[in-house]
Amino acid sequence: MKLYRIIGILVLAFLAACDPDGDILGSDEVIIPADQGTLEFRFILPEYDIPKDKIHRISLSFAFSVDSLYRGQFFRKVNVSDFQEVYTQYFPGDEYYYDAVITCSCAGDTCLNGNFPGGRFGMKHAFNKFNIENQKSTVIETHFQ
Amino acid sequence: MMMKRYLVFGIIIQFILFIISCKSDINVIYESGGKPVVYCLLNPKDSIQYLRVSRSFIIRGNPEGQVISPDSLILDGDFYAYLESENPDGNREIHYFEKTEINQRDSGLFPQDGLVVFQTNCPVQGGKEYGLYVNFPQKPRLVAGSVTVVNPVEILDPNPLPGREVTFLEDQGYLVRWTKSIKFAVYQSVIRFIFLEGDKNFQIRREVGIPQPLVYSDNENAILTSFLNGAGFIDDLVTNLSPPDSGLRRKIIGFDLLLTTGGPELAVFTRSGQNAVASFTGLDEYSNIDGAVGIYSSVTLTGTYNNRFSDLTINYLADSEKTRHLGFLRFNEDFQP
Repeated sequence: MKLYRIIGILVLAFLAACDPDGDILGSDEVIIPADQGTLEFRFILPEYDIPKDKIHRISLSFAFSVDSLYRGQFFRKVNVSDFQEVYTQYFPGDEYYYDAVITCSCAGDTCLNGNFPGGRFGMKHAFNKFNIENQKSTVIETHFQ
Repeated sequence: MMMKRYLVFGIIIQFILFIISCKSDINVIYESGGKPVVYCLLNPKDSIQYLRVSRSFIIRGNPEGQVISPDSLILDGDFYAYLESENPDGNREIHYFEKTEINQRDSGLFPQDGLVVFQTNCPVQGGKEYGLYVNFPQKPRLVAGSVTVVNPVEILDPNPLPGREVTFLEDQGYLVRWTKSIKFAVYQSVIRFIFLEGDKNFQIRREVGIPQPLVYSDNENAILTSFLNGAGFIDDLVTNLSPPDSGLRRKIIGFDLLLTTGGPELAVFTRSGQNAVASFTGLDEYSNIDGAVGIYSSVTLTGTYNNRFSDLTINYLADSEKTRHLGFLRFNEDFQP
């Protein structure tokens, strides 16, 4: 009789240990290296009076200084796509510059009317400075005029 | 007593007859005429469709040490073949195959002459069903198959717009994107790496193809992707490209990406071969054709051309320890005298 009680207590303890509401998939938390921070770059395409599929992301590049930015000397270039809006990058904590470029592929003078310089395949740059702090995330959104 | 003698006499007679009946030899190995082997891959981007008809044969022992008769693959007897499709008005359209003169397969085990390859002028459409028939009038045999042609895909990335570049580095790869053809298909991309080789006075355009692993799709996603690993790409480049001759340098132009789409039949066929023993005698027998061995499916080739590498990639290929011996010029360098 004593043995049954012990077994019963053990079974209850076992069942209590089960947590059916627990997260079996694990955490989505991204582990950032101690000497780096995250940049979440939201490369949002502007809304002009141009068909949306005719405005394209051309490049997203990063430079150490504004001088390098001007000279086009980038230390990192992201492979951009028209089908991806958010780009996540890791940098050591410091000050950087980004250069995001878009273009227009409409025929005729549609691109010109959409304020793309020179018309078709004219490019618009959006650039700025940003800071990365180690172990922290920075969010940037593009703003093309 | 008399009965016993008759019984013994009868047994002796039966034994003699049995011995006599075994006089002729029995051929325990049946030499069949071989089964038809048919390969046909319809291509919606080509107006000419090809068909290869041969036959199976048996090699006893080690095939390396045997002289194979040149006609081992040639199917005996007359036959004709045709493609059949149904028009929207219900009428059936038939395109007969004719013998063609194309480059023969060059291999030690296969005959270089006499492979029966046919062609027919039959533009096929994606999403439409086509029947294949090989008829042997003198034999009670009809080879038949049916296939729905895959739709051509569109490569979304890379998209060579002016100013857009692709960066491959040891720690940076590239995500290829394309539209789905059909639910279940097999895809293979090939990077065609293009460069100039020579000196200041004379350069020739050269290219090296780097095939990527097969991609199988079996989902409802409208866009399919395949990640090209940067380190893998650089390793493949080193493997596939030998250093230039002394005094010559190489200037990187860019790359094309070629994407081949195979229908569900080809997807199953290539998957079945992945676990097969890589030996001539260990081939899997797979067929989706009635009355024959082989494959009847569809393929289509799509490409995106004149893609540019970024200066970061070009300088890395020129300077890195792994690729320096390949003789690539830096981004801002040109051929020197």
